[in-house]
Amino acid sequence: MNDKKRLPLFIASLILGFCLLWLVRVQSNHLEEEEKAELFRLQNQITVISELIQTREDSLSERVEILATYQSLTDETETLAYLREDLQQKKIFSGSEAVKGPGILIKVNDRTDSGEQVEMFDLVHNTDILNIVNDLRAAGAEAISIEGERVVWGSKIQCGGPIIWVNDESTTAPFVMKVIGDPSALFAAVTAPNTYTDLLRSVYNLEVRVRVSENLEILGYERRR
Amino acid sequence: MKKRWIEGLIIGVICVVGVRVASHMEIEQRYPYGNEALLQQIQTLKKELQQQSETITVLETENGFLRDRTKSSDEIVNQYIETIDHLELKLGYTQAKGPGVEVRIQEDNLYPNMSVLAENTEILHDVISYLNVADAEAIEINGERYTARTEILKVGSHININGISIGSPIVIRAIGDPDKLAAALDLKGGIIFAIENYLGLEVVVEKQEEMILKSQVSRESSRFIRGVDDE
Repeated sequence: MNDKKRLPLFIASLILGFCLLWLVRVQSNHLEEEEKAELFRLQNQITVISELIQTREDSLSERVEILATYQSLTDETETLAYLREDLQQKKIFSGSEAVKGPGILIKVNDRTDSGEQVEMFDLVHNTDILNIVNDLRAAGAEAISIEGERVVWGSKIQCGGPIIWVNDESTTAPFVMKVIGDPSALFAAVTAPNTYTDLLRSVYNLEVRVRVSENLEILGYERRR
Repeated sequence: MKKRWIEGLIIGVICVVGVRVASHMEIEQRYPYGNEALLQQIQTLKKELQQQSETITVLETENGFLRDRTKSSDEIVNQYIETIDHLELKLGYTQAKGPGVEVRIQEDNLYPNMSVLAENTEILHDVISYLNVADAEAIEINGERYTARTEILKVGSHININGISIGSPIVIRAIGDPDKLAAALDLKGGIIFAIENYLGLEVVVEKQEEMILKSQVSRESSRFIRGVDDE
C-alpha cells in the first residue's frame, strides 16, 4: 500500500482516536461531577440535620420550660389560662382557628379564549392546585385557603369531574386562594419565570392573577378529624 | 485489500490504547489518590449523619418522657392537655401509632442522573391526596412526617421533603383504616395504576396492623399569622 492510499486511513483512525478521547473525557468528567454532587448533597444534608438537631434541642428546652411552668402553677385559674393560651396557639397552627396577616391573593381560572373546542389543558385541574399549594408551602406559606376552605395537614384536593373537592366542599373555577406569609416570597413563588403558576399562565394560557394584600383573613377548618 | 483492513485495525487499536492511557494519566494527575479520597470523605460524612440521627432519637425519647410528666390529676387540665395532644398529633409534633398501609414505590436506576419520581413529584401529591380522601390520620414519606407545611420539591436529581433529601424507594406510610386506605389507592385506573402504567415504576401496597410514625422535628413558626382576635 502506498503512502497516498494509507493517508486517509490514518486520518480516519486519528479522528476515531480523538472521538474516543472526547468520550472518555466526558465519561470521567461525568463521574467526577456525580461524586461532587453526592458530596455536596451529603454536606447539605448534614447542615440540615444539624439545624434539625438544634430545633429538637430547642423543642426539648421548651418542654422542660412547660414542665417547670406546670409545676409552678398552683392556682387553677392560672393553670387554665396558661393551657388556654397554649391551646389557642396550637389551634392557629393546626388550622382550626381563623387567622389574619399579610400575604397574597391568587385567582386561577380556566382558559377563556379557547373557543368552543375545549382541551384538557384549558381547564384547571386538582393537580394544578396541589402543585400551587406545594410551591406556596416551599415559599413559607403559614396559612392557605382555597375558595374559603382552609388547607390543613389532611386536606383533600381531589378531582370530582367538573368540580374540585377541597376538604369536603365542592369548588369550581375560578379558584381564589388566600395565602398568609411573607408577601414578597409568596409573590415570587407564583410569578417568577418557570414556576408552576407561571407555566399555567404562559404555556397553557390559563387566567392567573396575583395580588399582594397587607391584611388577609382566613377562616379555620371546622371539621374535627 | 485484506492488508489495508489489518493495517487500519492496528492503527485504530493503537489510537484507542493511546487515548485511554492518556486519559488515565490525566485523571491520575488531577486526582493522585483516585476516587478513594472522595469516597473516604463521603464515608466520614455518612458516619456523622448516623451519629446525628442517633442523637435525635435520644432527644426524642427524652421529649416523650417530659411530655408524659406534664399530665396531672386535674380533670379540666387533662381535658385541655388531651386537646393539645390531639392537635399536636395532627401537627406532627408527636409520634403517631396505629394500623395503616405502607406504599413502596421502587425506581430502577436505569438512568444514573435522572429520577422518574423527581421529575414527577406531583404523583406524590396525588398519593397523599388519595390517602387523605380515605381519611388517613397521619402520613409520613421516608420517615418525614407530612404536615400542613410539608413541601415536596425536586432538587437536582432527587426529592427534598421538609428539607431532607430522599431517594428510591419512596416509602409512604399512612395510619388509618388499612382496608379503606388500600382500596382508595388500588382503585381501578387510580393512582397506583397511573404510577405503574404511565411512569413504569413498581408499587407495592401493604396493609399493616401497627405502625409508628416519627414526630416532625421542626415546629411551625408564626412570623406572619396571628389569631383574628389578637391585637
